[in-house]
Amino acid sequence: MKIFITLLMTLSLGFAAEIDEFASEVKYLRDYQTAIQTAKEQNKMVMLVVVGDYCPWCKKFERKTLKYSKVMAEADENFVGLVIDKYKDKGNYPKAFFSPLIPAVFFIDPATEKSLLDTVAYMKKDEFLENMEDALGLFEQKDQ
Amino acid sequence: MMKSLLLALLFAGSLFSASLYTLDNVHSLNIYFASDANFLTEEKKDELKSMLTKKLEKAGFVFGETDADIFVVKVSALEIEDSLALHLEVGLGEEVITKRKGNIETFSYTYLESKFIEGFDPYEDTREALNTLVDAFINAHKDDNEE
Repeated sequence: MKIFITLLMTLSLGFAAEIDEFASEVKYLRDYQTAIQTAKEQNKMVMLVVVGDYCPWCKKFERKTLKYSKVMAEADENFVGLVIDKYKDKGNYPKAFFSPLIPAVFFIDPATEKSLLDTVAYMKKDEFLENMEDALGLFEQKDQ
Repeated sequence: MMKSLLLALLFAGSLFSASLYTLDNVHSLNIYFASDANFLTEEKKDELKSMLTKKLEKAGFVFGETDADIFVVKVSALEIEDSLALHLEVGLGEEVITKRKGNIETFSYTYLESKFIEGFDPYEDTREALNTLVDAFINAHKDDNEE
């Protein structure tokens, strides 16, 4: 039985979509409700990244910006990361985040499920780090 | 107002330098120049090739090494009535391992930009457009390789 389960897990990993591999590498969640719940428990914002498997700018944003060590550290420490495929995950996340342009990032307050700050299009790592700082500032202001 | 405009321009400019390709660790190049345009004699082709090579060397690229990536420059010309249409391409070709079943290896363009222009002074217009395309490549490379 153990061999069967191991084999099944290996096979399912083999068939995992690139978005799942990416989520696993950067430690982002893949389910919207789980992310909101986790963020509430940890008093963090949800950093929702909307991408598409057909979108080369999204791939570059993942490779060059989101996998950058400082961005990964910041995301891990202060946010609950969540990555969704704009079309394939449609219906599993609120319509408000169905961005016409991707890649898009929404910094969401888990209490209201509203975006405090959002960015659209490819962003370089330093610019994105500044956005993360700005989002944190807005989240902290809200608590005061 | 002026400050916002300047900031917006700077931001737009910095975005413009990025390309959707990833040029990390591209260092060694071999230039391949192809053209079927009648206005480009062998001498003119060599002139353009030399100009582009110097520009790329100045930007830090090295030429003449074994197994270098191929820097492709293509110039095509098409006469349409009294006008001459020019199609200019700059690309980076290299052997890559795909994600296809069996990790198939193939030659692939990992960077490709082009311009389609009307040639009033075909040689000068080609020269200018190739300069712009190579500048864009250098900027994209710089952008991808900054710390």
